[in-house]
Amino acid sequence: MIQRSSLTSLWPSQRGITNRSARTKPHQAMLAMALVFGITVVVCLYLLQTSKINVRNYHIQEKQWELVALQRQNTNTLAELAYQQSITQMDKRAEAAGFRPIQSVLYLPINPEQGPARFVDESLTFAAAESSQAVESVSMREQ
Amino acid sequence: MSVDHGNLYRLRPTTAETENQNGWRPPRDAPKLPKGRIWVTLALLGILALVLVAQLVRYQAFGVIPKVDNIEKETTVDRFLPRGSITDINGSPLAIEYYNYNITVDPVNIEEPEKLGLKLGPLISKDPGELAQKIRENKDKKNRYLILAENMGPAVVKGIEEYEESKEEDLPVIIEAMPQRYYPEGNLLCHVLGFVPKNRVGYYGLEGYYDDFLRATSRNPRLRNTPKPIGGNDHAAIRWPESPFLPSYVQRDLVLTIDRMIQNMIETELAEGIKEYEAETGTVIVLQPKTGAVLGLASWPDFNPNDYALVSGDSVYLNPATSQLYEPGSVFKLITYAVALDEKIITPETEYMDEDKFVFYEQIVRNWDKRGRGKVTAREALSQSLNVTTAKIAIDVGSSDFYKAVTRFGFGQLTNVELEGEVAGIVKSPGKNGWYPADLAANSFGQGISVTPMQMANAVTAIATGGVLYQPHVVHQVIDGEKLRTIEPKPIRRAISVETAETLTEMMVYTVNNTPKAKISGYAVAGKSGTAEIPDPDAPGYTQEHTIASFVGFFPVDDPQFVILVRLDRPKTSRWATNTAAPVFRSIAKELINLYAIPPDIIRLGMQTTEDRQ
Repeated sequence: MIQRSSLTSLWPSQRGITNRSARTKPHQAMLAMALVFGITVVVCLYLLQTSKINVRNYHIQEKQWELVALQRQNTNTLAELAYQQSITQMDKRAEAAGFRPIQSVLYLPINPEQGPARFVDESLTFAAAESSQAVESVSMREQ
Repeated sequence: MSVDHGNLYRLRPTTAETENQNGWRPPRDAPKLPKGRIWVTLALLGILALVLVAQLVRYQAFGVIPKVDNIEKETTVDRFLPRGSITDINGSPLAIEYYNYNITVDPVNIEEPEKLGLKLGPLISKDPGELAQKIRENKDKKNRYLILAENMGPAVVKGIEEYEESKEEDLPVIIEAMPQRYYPEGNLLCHVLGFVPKNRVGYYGLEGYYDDFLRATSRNPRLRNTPKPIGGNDHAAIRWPESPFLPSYVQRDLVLTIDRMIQNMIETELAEGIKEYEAETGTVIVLQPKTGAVLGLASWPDFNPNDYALVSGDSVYLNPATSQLYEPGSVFKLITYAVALDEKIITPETEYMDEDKFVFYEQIVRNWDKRGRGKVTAREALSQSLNVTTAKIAIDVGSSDFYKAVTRFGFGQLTNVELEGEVAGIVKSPGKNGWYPADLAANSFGQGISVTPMQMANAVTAIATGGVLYQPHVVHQVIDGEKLRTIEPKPIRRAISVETAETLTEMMVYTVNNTPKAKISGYAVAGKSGTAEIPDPDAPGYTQEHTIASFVGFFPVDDPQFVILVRLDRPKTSRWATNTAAPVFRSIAKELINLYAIPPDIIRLGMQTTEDRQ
């Protein structure tokens, strides 16, 4: 006789198996159901997380490629900057702007004992520099 | 069912424990394995494991790379690997990377080559029909890789991307980013930098010397992190130059000791000197004596590393400063006088009889003008560059002490400057390389001895530093990942005493004061010219028509900042260095004075006096 009202009707006793040990009690069935449900939930959560991680990974990868592309773009911009800052280009721009190379340099001795500042030009000679008279003996030109 | 255990019993040791396990018991007649053999085997395996572990630790923890002799240079490297930057001391770029793009396809996966040709042709400026035919041919051959366009600029890639966006269609093309080496300063510093061809292997100069280091470990750029200083005495003070080019995305960069402005000036002066004196080639080296740092290194003829193939021959790539030997001539007399002073054989006032001809063994020594001067002091002999007196001084020194000093000054050895292809030079010495006693006389005034310009300049730094020889170097800082290493000055050895260096400096100043074309008004300069004869390749002896003119010196004498060596090969306007190399030396020295704003001696020393008083 089939007991349809019982959840255990699907178990071995339903199929005419009369072995006492094969019969399942309701609480055992509930447990099994709970187990199946639990596993399903865990699997679902796992799948959800995995898919989220995959999506995130995809986004990260996309961002990484974007970063690589930007870094390459930046590298090319730096190369262009290097070209524009090269001596040849700077010379061209300076010449166009009316600059010229340094022709001569004048030095300004700062010596409070000598009064107002004076310039020394390149007429200074080594022999004069050797002189013990030092600065005073050197021919200096007032500017 | 019976089981024939066969030899199994022999493999299992008989112990009380094994007998009790599962009732297993070896037969009584089973032979016992000798314990000694087990221990020997275990010990051998243990030793082997230890050796393997030790080697692993050595390679990975300490970075020791196994050295293989006669290893051929790697000629196939990943062409997609970018390289680190090389900048000057201020962070101005000298060698950097940029990206070009290859447009490639997998022909097998393209179903309609004609359609792709029509779409892609206008974007990459190619004929659509030709593209389609090319794809079709490779599809038939089942090729999986075909380059449709090479070295395309970023604009082409942008064009393809815009097309795909506008048509909402992905073209079946693969865009490959190919790193390329770029030298923004063109010919500037070409011999120091070297070049990188398409195979992405560095050749010559720093590119060759640091080839492995400069190459990235991964194809993709990395995030630029702030390098932390390692080594050095004052970590906090060590910084790399503020520059958008440092660190590069590879973070394997070199910061040089060279300032590109100084380098540009040197190259300009050298080119003008070569033109004015109609020389065939030339070299200029500027060193900082107190550190051994190379501040400038120029050679002519030069080449553009961006178009390295446009040269007449491979020899142009060699750096004449480190890879080309020459007989230095009279500048080498400095070494002879240094050793004689150091050994206290002479003082500047020691007198010698200078004759028009002096024979030592089979060597006939004459002065440059074939005239004898009679009785001269050592100071006068150096100033007038007298070969006869110099040879006599060298003979008084003796071959043993002379060649020991030559070695102390670094001749016949590599300077170990970080440039590929450096040669050691040829120094004959008693018992070596077929030396004859007569060689001593010739070597004393720089003939019969082969040196590199770098060796000669570096030897003079030893005089400028008060006797200490430093190792020359072109790299100031190395950025390796997150580490920043600053190269410290490396003293090699003391070549001469402080007193000798001071006396010799005073003699060199006297020499320059008697060389009008080298003198700089307002500054004490120490120096010496040298006019070397060139060995005749077709006959024994030297050619009479050509010379190598050189001048080496340093200044300011009270606090040497620069050692400059100028070498002009076969000048035609005059055979004498005092008329050719000396004026180039002076021009460069004057420019350095301007660029570094060094006040005249009288001002500088006067200022010091004032400060002292305060």
